[in-house]
Amino acid sequence: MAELVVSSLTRCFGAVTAVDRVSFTVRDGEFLTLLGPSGCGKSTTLAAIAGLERPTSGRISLGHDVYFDSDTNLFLPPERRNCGLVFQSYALWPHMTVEENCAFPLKLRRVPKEQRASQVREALALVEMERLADRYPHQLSGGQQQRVALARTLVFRPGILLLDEPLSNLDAKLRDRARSWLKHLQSKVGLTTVYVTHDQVEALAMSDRIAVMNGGRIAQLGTPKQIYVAPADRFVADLIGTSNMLDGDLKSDERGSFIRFADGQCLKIPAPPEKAGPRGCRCDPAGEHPPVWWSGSERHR
Amino acid sequence: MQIGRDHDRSARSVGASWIQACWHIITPQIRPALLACFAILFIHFMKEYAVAIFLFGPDSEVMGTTMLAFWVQGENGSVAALAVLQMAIMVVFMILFRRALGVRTHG
Repeated sequence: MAELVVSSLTRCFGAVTAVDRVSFTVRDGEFLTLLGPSGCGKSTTLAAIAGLERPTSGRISLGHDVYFDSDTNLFLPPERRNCGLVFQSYALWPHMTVEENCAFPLKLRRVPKEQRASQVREALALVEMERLADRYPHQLSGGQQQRVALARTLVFRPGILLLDEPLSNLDAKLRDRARSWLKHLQSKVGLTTVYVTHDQVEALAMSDRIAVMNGGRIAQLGTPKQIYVAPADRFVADLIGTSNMLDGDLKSDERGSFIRFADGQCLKIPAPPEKAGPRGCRCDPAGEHPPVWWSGSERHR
Repeated sequence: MQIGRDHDRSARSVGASWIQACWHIITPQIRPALLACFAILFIHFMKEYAVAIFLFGPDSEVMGTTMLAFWVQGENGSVAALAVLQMAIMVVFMILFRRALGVRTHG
């Protein structure tokens, strides 16, 4: 168990910078979500942590193990990182049974046969799939495949769990159940976890902290509550929750502060904070909650 | 069936080197396709003489080139006989191959 430190990670594809100086730390046992629309660089960041993608520059380390360091030109290949990565497509090997799929990581590690069998049974029990150990992947439903993929990852006791949109191939009802099941499992095994998703509901429900990404950068990093209650800029406010975005001018006079919309209607609101230049706010027309102001730049894609 | 990039990537992430991933994960999945390619090429080269000419030597006579030599000499009967032999070999090969791979034409 260890802490994952990613510092100023950059990945360029030609002239395009997919990940731009991203830095974050995932504490031991913490569940961090990378949230953002497609193409924001979240999957590239995850692939860089797993070693499937070679970053352009930066540094990645887990505990005392340095995975990547552009200064010393160090790049640990994925097989030597001991990362547990679960794919969106599950990527179960179709020519192996469930049991063989789970045993393969242990075979590679030269675990003796008896111990291998008991470890595989243990991992399958953890995801409640022992009964289907002899099946082939194509004989399983999506939800079952996803459990097997997770068992295959947990069987070799990885140092960190990386999940790349593991629930997005499930139907809505199953996704709800899998979400709480996955969160429960994560706290049970106590693994440091990085979870990639574009689904704000998943992110808010499961994470200890969320990193909202936009255009290759982290727009805001904080607890789900912080992100929901106090978004840093318009992008985050738009992504989290369902809001109507209206453009208007902020006016203040002796009667108070109000926002004048394009059609001439005005909305009276409590005065904005003193600090200079709020760029936007979220307000509740019913007036039950005070408005939330943000002053971040408008890098809207 | 398509072999996605994720099969290879997942093998690498659970601890397989590039060679191990190729041998244990990719090769078993592409085996039927490899064998089918072999069968097609076998049949193709069986009836071919341009490639077989490299095997032709004083002690070894290759079917294709021998047939051509007979044809030039006008020995049409021998050419026909060899062609029948060729077909017989291919039929036997195909029967064995389909049995071994369990090929099903329908369903």
